[in-house]
Amino acid sequence: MAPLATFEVNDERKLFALAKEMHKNLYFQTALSNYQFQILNKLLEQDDYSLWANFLEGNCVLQIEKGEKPDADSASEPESIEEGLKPMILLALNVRYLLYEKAIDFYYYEGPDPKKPHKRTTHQNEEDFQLIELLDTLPDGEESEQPKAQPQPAVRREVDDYDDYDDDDGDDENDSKAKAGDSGAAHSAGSATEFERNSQGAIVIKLPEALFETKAEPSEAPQTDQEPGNASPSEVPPLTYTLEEHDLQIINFNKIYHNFEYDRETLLKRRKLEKSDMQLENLKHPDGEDSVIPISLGTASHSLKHLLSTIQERRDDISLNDIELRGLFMDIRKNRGKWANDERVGQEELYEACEKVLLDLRGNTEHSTPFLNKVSKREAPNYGLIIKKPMDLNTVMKKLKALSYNSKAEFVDDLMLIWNNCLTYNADPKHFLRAHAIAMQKLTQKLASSIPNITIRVRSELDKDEENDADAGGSTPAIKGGKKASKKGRMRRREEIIKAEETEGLSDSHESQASSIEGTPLSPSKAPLIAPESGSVPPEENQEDEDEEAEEGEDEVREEDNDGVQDTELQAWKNLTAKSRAKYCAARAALFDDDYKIVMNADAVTRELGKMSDFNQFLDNKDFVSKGNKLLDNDEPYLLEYDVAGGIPGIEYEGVDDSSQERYENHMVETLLQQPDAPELGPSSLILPTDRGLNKLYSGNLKEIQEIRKICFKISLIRQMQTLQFVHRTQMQKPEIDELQENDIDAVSKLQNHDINDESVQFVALRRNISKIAMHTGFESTELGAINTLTQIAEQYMLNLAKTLKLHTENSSRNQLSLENILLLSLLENGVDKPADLCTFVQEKVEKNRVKLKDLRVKLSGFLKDLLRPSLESINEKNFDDNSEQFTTGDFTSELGDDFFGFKELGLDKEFKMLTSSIPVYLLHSKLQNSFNLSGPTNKSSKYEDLKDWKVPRLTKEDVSKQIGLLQPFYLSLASKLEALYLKLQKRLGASMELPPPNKLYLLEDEELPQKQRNIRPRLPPTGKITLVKKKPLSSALLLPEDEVAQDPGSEFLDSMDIVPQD
Amino acid sequence: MDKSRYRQEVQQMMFVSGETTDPPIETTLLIEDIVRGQVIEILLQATKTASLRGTRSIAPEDVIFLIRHDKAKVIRLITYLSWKDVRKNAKDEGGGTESLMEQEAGAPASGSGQTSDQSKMITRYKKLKIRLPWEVQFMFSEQHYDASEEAQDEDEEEKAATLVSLKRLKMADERTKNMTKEEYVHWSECRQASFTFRKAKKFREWAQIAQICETRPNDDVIDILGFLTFEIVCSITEEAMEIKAAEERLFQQSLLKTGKEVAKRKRKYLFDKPDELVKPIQPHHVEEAWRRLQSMKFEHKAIRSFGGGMIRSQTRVI
Repeated sequence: MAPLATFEVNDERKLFALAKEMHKNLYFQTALSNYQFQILNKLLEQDDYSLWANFLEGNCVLQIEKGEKPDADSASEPESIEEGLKPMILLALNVRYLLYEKAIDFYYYEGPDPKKPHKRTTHQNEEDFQLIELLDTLPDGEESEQPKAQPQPAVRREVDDYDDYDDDDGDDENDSKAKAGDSGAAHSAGSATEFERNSQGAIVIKLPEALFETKAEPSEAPQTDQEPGNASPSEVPPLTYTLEEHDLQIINFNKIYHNFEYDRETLLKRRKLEKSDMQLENLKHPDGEDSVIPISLGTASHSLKHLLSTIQERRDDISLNDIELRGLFMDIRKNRGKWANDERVGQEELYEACEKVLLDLRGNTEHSTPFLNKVSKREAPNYGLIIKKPMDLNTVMKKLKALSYNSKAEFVDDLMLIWNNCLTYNADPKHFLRAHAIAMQKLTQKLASSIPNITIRVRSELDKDEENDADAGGSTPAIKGGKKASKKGRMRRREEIIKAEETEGLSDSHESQASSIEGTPLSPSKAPLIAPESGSVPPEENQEDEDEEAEEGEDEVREEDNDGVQDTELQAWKNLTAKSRAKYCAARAALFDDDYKIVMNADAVTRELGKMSDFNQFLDNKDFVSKGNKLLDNDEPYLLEYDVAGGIPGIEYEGVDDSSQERYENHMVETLLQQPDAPELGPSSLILPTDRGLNKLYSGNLKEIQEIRKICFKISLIRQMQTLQFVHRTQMQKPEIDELQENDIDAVSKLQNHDINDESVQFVALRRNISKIAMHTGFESTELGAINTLTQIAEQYMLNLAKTLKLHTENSSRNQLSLENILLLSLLENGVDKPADLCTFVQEKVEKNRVKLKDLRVKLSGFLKDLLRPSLESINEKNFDDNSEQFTTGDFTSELGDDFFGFKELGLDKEFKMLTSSIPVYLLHSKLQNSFNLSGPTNKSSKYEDLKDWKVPRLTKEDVSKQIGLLQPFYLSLASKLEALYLKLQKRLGASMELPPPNKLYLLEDEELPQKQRNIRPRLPPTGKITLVKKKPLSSALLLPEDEVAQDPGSEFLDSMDIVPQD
Repeated sequence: MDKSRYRQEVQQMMFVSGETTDPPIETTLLIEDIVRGQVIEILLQATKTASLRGTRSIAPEDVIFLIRHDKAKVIRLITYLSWKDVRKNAKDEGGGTESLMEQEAGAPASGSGQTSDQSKMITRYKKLKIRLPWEVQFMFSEQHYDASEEAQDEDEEEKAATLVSLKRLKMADERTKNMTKEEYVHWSECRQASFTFRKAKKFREWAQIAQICETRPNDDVIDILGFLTFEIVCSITEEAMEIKAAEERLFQQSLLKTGKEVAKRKRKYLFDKPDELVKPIQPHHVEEAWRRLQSMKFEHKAIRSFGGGMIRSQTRVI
């Protein structure tokens, strides 16, 4: 770090050279306050090293010579400049600081990353490097001469805080402190012979008051003073300089520690500004109704005229408010600003610049607050007497909006008028407002240079001029009347004007001095006019004024005190960050209510991960401009102290996001797939085994129930077919009964990183079991809400059971129960009187049900078969087990392919719109019904159809021997009986007594016997008492006549059918 | 005295379940009140279930539903009803039970065909009994017609009932063991005591059925109520007797503790009052019995434990 050696040894000679160089580059002009600069300027002009050294050591006393101009001038003196030692010491510190700062910048930019985000800063760096290099080139002889005699000013410690490089500083200080007194004195005695000294031995710098006097006039800005001192500064255009300065300041902020003591005041001022903004807005609104549109669009394009008038007419129907409406028009007229106006040439450019300046001024809340609004009579009753032409920032804004400025000069005049008014009214040099006014004045001067020097001219005049020009030139034919001017012409003219303005602007920047002087011609003339009057202002009123703004005043007085001490950077920092600081403070204030208690529903201060980068960048000194923070504007520096949540370094662990989770899972899946017998691949514990336990019983029962339902459906279908003549196809659709399945949880959830005991998962598992129970109880379907409620009840019950168990096991009583007893007790308290109840439950509810269900199924399927029997006799049971309906409908014929039933032949397929050749069920069922109706007798008759024609051969005596042995005695006795009967008949008739041949003797059947001979079955009377049957002797029975016996039995024999054989 | 309308019946019922023949009037009055409260409760709850079904009149099922958890009681009730039905139908037939008996006797003599007819008739009566809608077969939309094989699985259920009824029979046996013939006759007459038998109108007025029910409950319901009231009186009496016994035991124990001699008796004389008379049940015994029978069981409040708050309970049907 050779280049920094100069700083390390505190070589004043080199510093002097550096200071001179920097002075040439106009560095101090911006960094120091006005009068400080003047003093420094004077000092450097002397070009005396010893004076410089004394100055740096704080040995100088400022003495202002009150020269030729007597009281009048001093009265109007804007700044109260303290005389004596203090200001000089302050100045010396400031200068020192600025010089060291250069070194710091250099030190940093030499670091590993010379690339800088901002070009300007690198540019600045180069300058710095040059300076430092320049230092090195200075002759070493001087350096070696001095070092030992170097006085270490005690005040340097303050500066040390900003120095990064002096690690051994402490040591230096210790020994240097001892020397400080004598060496400093010796040194000064040796060198400063020519200088006047005061009693303490300090050099007295005499400065003519006239030097400061000029500064009192704001228009005569530094530029005028510069001229005698330096020839070079005019090369640097002021505008760019401020930009550079801005960046520089931003960089510097982060080397300074800021505290919060100015926040309150900043916030208050901000609020005032906002309030006055609101007022401006409000002022605009009442008359806005009609005027806004014309103003916003100017006398704008004629093409939009009709549209505008229509909108105006129907204003009430439009829901948009004026601002939105204006926004819409702005969108249409894209390339034009809000100040654009065709009639007034140059307005847009001028007004845009003016507005920006005005906003900047207003935004400088540090100083602008008192000037926002008009001075009210209440605040200063005699204000009107003293100030003839009052002015304030809001009035300027109003005037700007009313388009009442025609040139830059008018605008700047008004601004300057504000500050001058203030300075005039508050004549007391120590009045706090003066400082503000002067600061604003400076700022105005700085900013005013950015306004292009344009004088607005009305289009018609311009046209006239042009016409005149054209006429004079005679080059183009005259265009008659501005209104009729072709658009093209207008466009062309516009372009010309813009070009002209551009060149003008360029020249403007060159002649910035000229313009700024030109811009404020009025103020100097006015100031003296008012000055005498201001002198007569009684001090009491100032007092009053201050009382009015009591609170604020106090702050400002304090600030006033600070102002003397504080350095320029703090000032700049305050200005720049005022807005964001106010925002931060407001955001923080929103957290508390009036009683300083936390507002519970306020937005929390959250710590976002993204904000860590702000902090890290801050640490790395890389990018100090924070973007994306909603409280900061884009170009504002990051305020570490205010970012409550951002100042904490990020956590190393970056957490688990979805992608890493997925990767982890994939890895687990892969490893799992490699080992096939991993427990995760098997069924989870959520699946109850179906082969044992209660679940087996339940699922068995459920299957049974489902089967029964299927059968029931068939039965009901058949019943419907029997009762209704027509059954719609939809009625015949089978209800979809799915087989019960134990669905496991999805495979991914079985992985180790998923918690299977998650409440919701377990709830669903419980719900499945509950719904099984519900189904077992007989529900066909359930609503989700109902089953959820049931599940919750079950959950509650199980929880209670567990709680009871826990309660008893954790019982601290001395009388400890055994585990078994605890279990029994818990069960008892939860409604299970004894464990056997559980067993009974299973037996009663589940196993018995199973038996019953099986029974029921058998019965129902039997019933179904009965229903189907008439037409399905030949079909065996198996066909029904596989649910085939093809036998009922004849579906199998479609497989055969041909017209098996002959439906097509009959044309039935068209009649019934059948596509297949199967029998429609409704045809079938009517057949079924018919067969049902004709049930009993028809069946009997049809049963023996084949045997109808077969005649039973009548038995003769001859055939008896051919009969089976069992029956032979019966037949024989019958035959003998008949023989006897026959003989008797013959005897009565007197016919031959011989028996017919055995083959002719027919055995009579019972029914063919005469009535009397039949065995009569005893009939039970209603009394139920069986009376004895009177047996009639066979002999007395009537006998059949011969011919009748031979033929068919008579009708009278058919009556009785029962024969009890008689012995 | 005028308030009590069923004193005699209550007395008889209490006697059947083991009480003395002559309980004090306060006791019977109290029991009668309890029974009436129970009947009203039953009717109210049955009306509720009926309205849930969508009808306004109480069916026998609604009443049975209230006691469905007591299986034995349900089965006894059902058998009672079915036999009542059989009896009624037989009466309607004309011959009544007598003719039925006669025919059965004559059946073997007159042939098989007639006997089968007879037995069919009996089974038909039997099968007319009430089927409860919460039985398993009513889970399904279709029922089969033939009920011929029903008897078998019914028996299984009755097994449980027979166990209980055996117990009851045994108790009755115990009670009647030492009775003389006359006493026994009296006792069995008392067994026939009923609140409703042949006095349905009185019962309706007493229980204010007209005020409670929208429609007149049918005779079956009244019969069921008669059956249930008998059961209620019996169970209260049994409970009260238990309490009384416990109380006496306690009294004896305390006597023993105080050292007084219990066994010490005066000499017996001819005209002494009969000693060791069984004291009748006092009203406070009945009250305690009622409390015990109404006490909430764990199973009814288990779901509410750890939940806090008072558990409101319905009057329980005994």
